[in-house]
Amino acid sequence: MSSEVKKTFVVTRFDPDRDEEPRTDRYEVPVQPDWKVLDALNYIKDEIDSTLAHRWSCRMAVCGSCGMQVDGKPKLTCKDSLANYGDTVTVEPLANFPVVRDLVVEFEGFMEKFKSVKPWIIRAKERAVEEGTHRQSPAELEAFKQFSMCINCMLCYSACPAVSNEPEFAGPAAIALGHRYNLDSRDEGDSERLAAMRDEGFVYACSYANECSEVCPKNVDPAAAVNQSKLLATMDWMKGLVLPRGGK
Amino acid sequence: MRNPAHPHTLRPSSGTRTRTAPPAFPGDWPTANPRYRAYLLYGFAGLFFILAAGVMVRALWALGSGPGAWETFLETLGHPLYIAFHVGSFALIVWFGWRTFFQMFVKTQPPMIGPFPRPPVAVFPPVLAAAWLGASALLIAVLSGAIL
Repeated sequence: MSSEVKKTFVVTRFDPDRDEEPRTDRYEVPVQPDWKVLDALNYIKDEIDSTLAHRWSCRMAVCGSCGMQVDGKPKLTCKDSLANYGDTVTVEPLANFPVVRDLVVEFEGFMEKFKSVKPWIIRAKERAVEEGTHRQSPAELEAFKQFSMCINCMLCYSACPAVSNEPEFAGPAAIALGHRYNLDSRDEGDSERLAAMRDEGFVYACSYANECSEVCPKNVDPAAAVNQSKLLATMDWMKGLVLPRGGK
Repeated sequence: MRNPAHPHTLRPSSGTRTRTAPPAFPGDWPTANPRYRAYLLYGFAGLFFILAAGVMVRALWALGSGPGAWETFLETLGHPLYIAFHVGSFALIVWFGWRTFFQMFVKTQPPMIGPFPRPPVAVFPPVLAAAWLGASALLIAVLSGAIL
């Protein structure tokens, strides 16, 4: 016995070769009670309109590919149950991103933000291989683990009003990643990163809407990372003023 | 309906390889949820505080202009518009302080505070509330002449 019901999907379409600006198409989809939003998009693609372009991969909230605006809110569509929505569901590409086609956004600009925080272990002096690995206690791991859970789904960028107004802003996920390395006991590059974070377009460009943390599907809490980075960047600057040789 | 975001938002520095639709932000964003409304009100509160600072400057000016000017200033404070303004300012500054200390301040605490691990986040609100009530009680006691 099938318990499917029909829902109408209003989906943003944009063909860069033909459309001046994005438009919408409507699709009637017979949905199952346990379907996620991504299941409906895949049904449209497979059964109704094969020209629809959308990005997805793992279907288990790990790869971060399927972020879209669902009824105006940034959601990971493989995790977002259709039971949460009414008879008409609006699906749009992620806000704040240039749109390549339909629901696919350009993320090269997003990846450039990541490089700016130097997301790798920086050591004052590299250890020789024979000296062994860098050991880390469970407590030291716990200090940054939360901020290392980001899957780069970009939902936080689409929810952030500062991102939409300040193109230079590094944004929540990039700052959370930089903060993750600053808290890592194996890293010695925090002063270098914090100096960069004091620049225009970094931590002080955040005016705390906290929406990034609300929409994060992995509970990374990027707003906490940004605000902790503000404190650490300011303290690092003050140490440089007050202590001999900047406290180094 | 969507609002245009800044046209260079999240645009690659070398430009895009194909023509893209410009970035947009949800059309209902200021009213979409209570957090966006709080975010706007938090910024708007700055205007109120500038006006309140203007009233203080005026008070200092009156104080420096002699007893007559001071009495006149005190009389103007009894005007219903002034009373409404001060009631509004008081409500706004209480909310502003609550958002600053009970939401932002808690988020600002790093995992290690000096050599000590940060206490659980749930510990902060009651400690802050106790500090707030204590400071307010002390201030009221001083202003009412009960102490000092």
